[in-house]
Amino acid sequence: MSNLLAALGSSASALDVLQQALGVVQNNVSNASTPGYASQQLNIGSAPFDIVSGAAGGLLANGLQSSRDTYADTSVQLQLQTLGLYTAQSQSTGTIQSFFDPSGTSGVAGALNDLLTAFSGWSASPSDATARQQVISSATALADSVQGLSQSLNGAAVQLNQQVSSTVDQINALGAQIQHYNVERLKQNQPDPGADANLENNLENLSQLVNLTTLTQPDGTITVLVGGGSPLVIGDQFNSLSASDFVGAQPPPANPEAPPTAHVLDASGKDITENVTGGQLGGLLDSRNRVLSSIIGDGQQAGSLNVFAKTLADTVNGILESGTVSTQAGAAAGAALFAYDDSDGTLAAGSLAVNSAISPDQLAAADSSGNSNGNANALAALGNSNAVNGVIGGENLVGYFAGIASAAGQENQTAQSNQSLQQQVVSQVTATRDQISGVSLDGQAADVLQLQRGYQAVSQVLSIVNNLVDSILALVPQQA
Amino acid sequence: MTAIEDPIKLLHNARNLLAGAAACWNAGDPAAIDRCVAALDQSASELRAAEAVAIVDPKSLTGFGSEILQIRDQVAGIERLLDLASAFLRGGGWSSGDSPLYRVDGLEDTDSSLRPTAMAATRIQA
Repeated sequence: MSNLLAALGSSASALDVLQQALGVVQNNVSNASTPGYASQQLNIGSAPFDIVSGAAGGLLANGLQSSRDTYADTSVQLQLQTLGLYTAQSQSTGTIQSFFDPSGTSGVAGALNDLLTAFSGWSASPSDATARQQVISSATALADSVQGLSQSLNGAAVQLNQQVSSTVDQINALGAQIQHYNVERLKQNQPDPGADANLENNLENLSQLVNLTTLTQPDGTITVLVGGGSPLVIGDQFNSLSASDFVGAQPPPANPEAPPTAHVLDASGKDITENVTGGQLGGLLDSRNRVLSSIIGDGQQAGSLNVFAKTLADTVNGILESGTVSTQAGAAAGAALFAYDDSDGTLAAGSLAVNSAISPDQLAAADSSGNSNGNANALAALGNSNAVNGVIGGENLVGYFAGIASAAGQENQTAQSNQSLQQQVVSQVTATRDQISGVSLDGQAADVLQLQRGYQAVSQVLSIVNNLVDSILALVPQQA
Repeated sequence: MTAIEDPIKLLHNARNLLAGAAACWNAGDPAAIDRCVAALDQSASELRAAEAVAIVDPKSLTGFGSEILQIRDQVAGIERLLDLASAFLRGGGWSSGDSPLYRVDGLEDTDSSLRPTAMAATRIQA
């Protein structure tokens, strides 16, 4: 009777173990496409089996084994941080680049060329009213174009600042979910594969947003440090980041009216912007605070577009104001063609306009030496390769502006190229990780077939053993 | 022709080998299954040798009927494990095909390849 009960108990426990095993296999298959899921395996062992002692044998579940590989997961996270950086750089520099005409035939470059052409026409007919009017019309078009470009770029700066803010919100949302994982993990003795999958998925999403470091604590919780060491999640504590736009106060800004740059602050209010070098947030900050600031300026620099606008206006005005409207004795001095707000280095491009008080007859074609078209010639020569006026860093005005447009295009091209290469790297490390910890449906099916063949072999041998036992039993003499 | 072996010793060997086969049983490990098959094979060889001796000298087994019955019980025990494992492979009737374990985010099982109806049709006669 005891043997029968033991056998029944053994069957029941074996059934339970096999049900668990089936559950694990089914769960693996169900979650084959679940982001972050690592396949699980139920370790099955045998229970003691001895007729004499009454141990009826059976199966024992020896715990779940996860195929998760921390090194592979970390590799994926690191590469995702770089991909996020390049992706954000590619998108944001693409927007910046779109404001420049790569052919140079329209926009600021085209308008500058038209103005130089108008100066040239005026130099051929310095007294011609139509030529003078053409100069003013072309100058107006150029000023409008520079202003428009400045407004577009400043609008892009505002958008990038907003994107930085929304990205910080996303980071905080993910940080809160990881904190929740930690809280739940502290209540459990064993890791939960489903919660682990969510955690890994959240860490990968977070990696795309910001450079981070993760540490698994002995109690199973995850510590997440962002931006080179600022704690986002420690145990059950969550320290939110915040975004803020301002003109840096240290060192004292040379351009206090500059468009505010984007900053990221940790929970204590410390500015960690410089340490955010990865993920989409790193890419957005780089595009906003480095690429865009180099064009529209910030607290410490005027920006190349403002330098261009200021140099253009100062050079043209300087030439015109140094001459006279004609060569006649007592002729009036020339008037300034351009006007701009010079109260702050970053306001030049956005305020560039044609002097509202100027009329065509106030343009001074004659230079101070009495040449009737000396000034007009000097202005027409601003676009020459050997120009002596309006030179910035060895480049004339045309070349300097082309350099701004070219730099914006180069930034975008580099970011696109980096993004493309990094996408391949991410694909490779993800594939490697999935080989280690992912669910292979083919593999699951192969395992089942292999086991089935093994069971068939056992069945055949057992059949032979049974026949032999029956045969031997028949030979045993009956005792009286 | 080697000397005739003691059938009782052969039966003991067979019984020990069967116990070893049961001990190394692991329904989820193909390598363990292979080891189990090897032990069962060896056990069958011992029984075959015992049968050969008993055919020549049936009296040599006098009084060992109960031991042979215990061997039969041992075999039945392994068969029971095999039946359960086979049922596992077939996704037997005791399983609804819906595991309560570790389902992520309550995702539904959209893959029916491991459901009972889609499992291997081969029924293992153990």
